[in-house]
Amino acid sequence: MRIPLEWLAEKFATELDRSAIATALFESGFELESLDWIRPGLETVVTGRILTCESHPNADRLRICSVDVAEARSHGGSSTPKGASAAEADSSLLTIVTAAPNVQAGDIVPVALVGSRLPTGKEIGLGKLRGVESYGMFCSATELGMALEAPGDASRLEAMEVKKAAARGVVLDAAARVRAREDAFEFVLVLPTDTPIGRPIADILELGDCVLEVAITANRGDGLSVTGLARALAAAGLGQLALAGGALGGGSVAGTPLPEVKLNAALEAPDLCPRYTARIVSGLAVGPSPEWMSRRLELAGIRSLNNVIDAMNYVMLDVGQPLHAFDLARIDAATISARRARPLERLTTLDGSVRDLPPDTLVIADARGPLAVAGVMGGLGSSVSAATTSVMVESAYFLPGAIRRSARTLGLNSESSYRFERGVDPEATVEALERACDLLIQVAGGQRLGAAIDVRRQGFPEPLVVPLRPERTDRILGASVSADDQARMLASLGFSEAQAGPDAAASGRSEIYRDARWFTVPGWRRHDVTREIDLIEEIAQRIGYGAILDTLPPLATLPDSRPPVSDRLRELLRGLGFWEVLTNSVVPAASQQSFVSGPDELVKLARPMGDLQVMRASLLPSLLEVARTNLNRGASRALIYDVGRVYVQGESSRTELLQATALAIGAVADGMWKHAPEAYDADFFWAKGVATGVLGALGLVDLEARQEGAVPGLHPGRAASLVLDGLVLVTFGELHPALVEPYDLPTGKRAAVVIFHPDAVAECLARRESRGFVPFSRFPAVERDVAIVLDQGIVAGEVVASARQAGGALLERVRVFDRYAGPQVPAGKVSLALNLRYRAPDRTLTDSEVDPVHAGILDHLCRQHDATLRV
Amino acid sequence: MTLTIADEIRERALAELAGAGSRAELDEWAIRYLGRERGELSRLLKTIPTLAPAERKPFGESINAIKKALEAAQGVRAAEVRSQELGQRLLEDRVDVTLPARGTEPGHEHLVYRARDEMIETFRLLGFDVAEGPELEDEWHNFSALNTPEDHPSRDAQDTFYLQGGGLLRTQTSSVQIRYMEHHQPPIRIVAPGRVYRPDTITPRHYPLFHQIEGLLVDENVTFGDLKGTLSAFARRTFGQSRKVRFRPSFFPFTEPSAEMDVECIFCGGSGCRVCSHSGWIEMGGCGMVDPSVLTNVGIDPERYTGFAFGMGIDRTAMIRYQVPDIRLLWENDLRFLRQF
Ligand SMILES: [Zn+2]
Repeated sequence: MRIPLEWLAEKFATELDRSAIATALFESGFELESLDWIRPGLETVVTGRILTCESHPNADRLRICSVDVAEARSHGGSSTPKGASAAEADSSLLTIVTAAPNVQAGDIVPVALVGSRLPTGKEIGLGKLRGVESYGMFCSATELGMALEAPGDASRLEAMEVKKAAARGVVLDAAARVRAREDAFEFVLVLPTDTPIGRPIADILELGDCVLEVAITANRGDGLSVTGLARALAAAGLGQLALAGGALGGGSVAGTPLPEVKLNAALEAPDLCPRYTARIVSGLAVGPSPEWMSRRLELAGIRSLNNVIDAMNYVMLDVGQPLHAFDLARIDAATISARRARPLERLTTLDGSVRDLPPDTLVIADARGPLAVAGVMGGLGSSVSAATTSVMVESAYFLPGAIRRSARTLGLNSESSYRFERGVDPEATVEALERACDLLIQVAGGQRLGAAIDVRRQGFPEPLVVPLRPERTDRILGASVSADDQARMLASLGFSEAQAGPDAAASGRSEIYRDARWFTVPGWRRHDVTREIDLIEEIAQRIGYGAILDTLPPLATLPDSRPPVSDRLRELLRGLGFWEVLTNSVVPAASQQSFVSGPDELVKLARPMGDLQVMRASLLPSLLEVARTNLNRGASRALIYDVGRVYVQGESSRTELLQATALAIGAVADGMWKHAPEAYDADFFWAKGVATGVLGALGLVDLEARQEGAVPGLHPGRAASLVLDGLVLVTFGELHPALVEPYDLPTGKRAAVVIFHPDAVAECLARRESRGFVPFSRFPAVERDVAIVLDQGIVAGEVVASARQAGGALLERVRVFDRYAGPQVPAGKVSLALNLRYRAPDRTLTDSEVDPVHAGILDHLCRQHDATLRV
Repeated sequence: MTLTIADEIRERALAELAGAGSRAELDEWAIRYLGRERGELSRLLKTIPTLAPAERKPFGESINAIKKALEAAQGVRAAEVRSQELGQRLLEDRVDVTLPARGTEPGHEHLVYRARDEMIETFRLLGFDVAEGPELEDEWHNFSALNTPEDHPSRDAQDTFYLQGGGLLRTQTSSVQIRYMEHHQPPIRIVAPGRVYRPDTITPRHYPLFHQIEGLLVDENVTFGDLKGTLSAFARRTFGQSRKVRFRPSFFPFTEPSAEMDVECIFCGGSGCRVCSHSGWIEMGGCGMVDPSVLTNVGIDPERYTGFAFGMGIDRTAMIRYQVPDIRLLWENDLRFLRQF
């Protein structure tokens, strides 16, 4: 919310200390977003530092300056410095040609950017001065709209000159001071050297009107008015309130007596509108608002329309109660009702659009039909126009939920709905009504006609009384505040101590509040203070969060969990040269199609947003995108991984699985430099090396490689999984060649993909944690190499397995160290070279012990696999 | 006379030894003088039988003395030669250390994950366990249990991604608080890092998904002072032990009292700069005492237990700490960006 400082200051009997406002606001739960000085014409005048200043080659009296205006450079003069972000400014250096005799390199001066229209009326265009383009103008105090005759301006500039001189170690005498300040008006104003650059000059010199921008959280509807903020600031100790004062209070102008008009209202939806008040003001003249009122409204960000509407808005900003003026001639004031819209009802709202009113919408109607969407926007038909002479002013209490629903279903928001949604004071309805009428009569003439009406639901508003156990405050805050101090703090915020009363006990309040003290909540806080804990928060804010001592909670036990296995996978992958990337988990549906067996397996957004359509089923497409981007940008290869979730839509449930997916495209060994091996691409066996290497480093060895037929994204003939204890720990292989083209990857190159399943790895590690030490033999081993020739279709793993099976206790290890197919062996056959290692736990083996075992294994292999020994 | 010959051999051997500059020359020398068969001293010893019996013993002793002296000298010289040879080899082995390394380039960690890991590590030191929760959430855990009113704007489709067939993508990691409390009784002390989603248009400051870390501590006698102390300890360990921290009132539906934590700007030290919009402070995140009704929602007695919760943006923290100007850089994964971390 924007409020002019002078308006706020008016609420105080005491001088408002501007420098303390920000702190007082944030201690009250508000935030001062900015404090701006507004003077028309100075929006694009900023502080700039002259970096260089050289004489113009074609003109004696001109100089060419290079000026740093930080991020404030505007484009074509259209954007204000405050709106220009760093990204928009392609350069913060401006060239400016000046005739000013008094500036030099290093000076900080006011710079009017191109497009400025100064308070003097002077317009700054893009100019060419003797062949050199100039992108702005340095300003004197006069050009900034300051005046030598204005005592405030003159003394301010004089003080600045004294300070500047003092910084140089010079003391100005009286005559010099006068001279210096006159110079500031006549020549370019040179600012003190510690002035920040790129800032609006109005903020630096505090020119014009000061406007506060205050951020207000959704719970604090009471802060949406000048009065509300003043109340909070006063409670924070900023000054003495003088709320009745201010510009209001002008008397009504008596006119000719007017005929009596009947005014009546019915609450047909008391659950949505429990209180409706209204009054008729007659004999007024619609016209422009007085200057002070329209200026304050404009500074607050509300357009001035006419004196009637402005008066409504002014009081709304002043006290927080939205008000509405109906043209009395265009309504039937005797049959006003607040009710739900009826089927098929529609209303043309002030903005000119015809709106169908959904059945639950709260409307203000007369016998003929709806006049306004209650609390949101009035109807065009009953609105104030130039011809209006009498109005019905409405001040009502609508429930926040009702207005929120209307605003949402109609897609319509207003200053009024904004306040009703956050809750207005249901006890101040009439007060606001009368203030609005006062102001209306002051600015538009006319007089009150008849009595005001105040229609309420039975008993509304019921007093809100909340218990507080002072010791509970101490327990929650970790502070120590006496019960009386707590009561005093609450009193300063408008909470008065009350007797609990029989109804409090009857309303089911439990035993725990038996010894509590009770407080009545003021009307303007009814929406966010309803429970004991809310009072405790108020007390915490009064104590000041900073005054509550920092403590560390005692630690009785240490956390259970270890860093997740995915962290170790990430670290090991980095050790192998992979780069970690961050990929999106909401992706285009098309990218996932080949990774699920049907579209039903994808988790889909109800309302896709551009490329954000489905939850990924695989990380691979995103990794391929990253690879493509970087290869296109000149990278020679991509070794990347991401650890993230994939999402599967099941028949009745959804699952999220963590996957660590690595992709290697390009030469993993690049062949450069004399020691390096030959260049080679990441292929299946390199991928297998990554898989076994990472798992091996975690202590998972002797993994079984299982051929995989159809892993999405992988080459069907070059894909496998590593399995241990029945758990699939990793799936890997070469990228499916069909993906090369869609992702625009280099053709003819292989790429490796390794997908770890961290949950399975964690499970496997947990199972192994309980295993103990297995003693190993300290006796030497006997090694035998053998080559066998067998059918090409028999996989090495099978041969190794059957060798193990036949080997018995003495066979320690079988390793394949070569595989050969070619002219040396018959067609359709391969030669496998095996290394077999024998060892006994308790003795050195002799040949005579090994020979029969070895022969037995070879015999078994030959029979099992129809193999022959190669000699 | 024979002794004179022996002395002569000794002098000659020592002179030659001094000239032997390599192991091979040393070996030759040893064979020539000390060799068992043909060594000069051995040959001299073989003349003993030709001597008078009385001369034999002193002659033999003197030859042995010479032999011992030569062997000692040989040992000294051999050490000298070895050391010379080593020196030579080291000289020849010298390489140009500025040539490229062998093997692959090292991998890199992504900035966001690094920031997350650092935050987790600090909270582990403070005794927090790490918990996780689903990203595919329901309205109860993401909104209702956290006291978000039924008609609250954050539930709108403009602010929340809903899923076909029901459910939503969580908009905050606070949902993990609820899930954890449903299955654990106090004492509870967890952080929950994770990914959250909001349908924001992509700009330099906004991306429709980002990372948060949520914290929750529920136990007997947990106070607002504990909240301040814990988060201050975190902020100081992260941004420097002397850094100022402040807490100011704020509002969240699921905490009461609620606060916003600010850290003294790490770039200007509080005097005001562009990064902190000239305020001297940088917002770190929201926090507060867990609202009693949230505890009631998950079946924890708010009269017996109190607690605090907090949430911080991970991406944002990373961007501030490493001065990354545009959030899209985090997701673009240009290797030239990744290489820097
Ligand atoms: Zn700063």
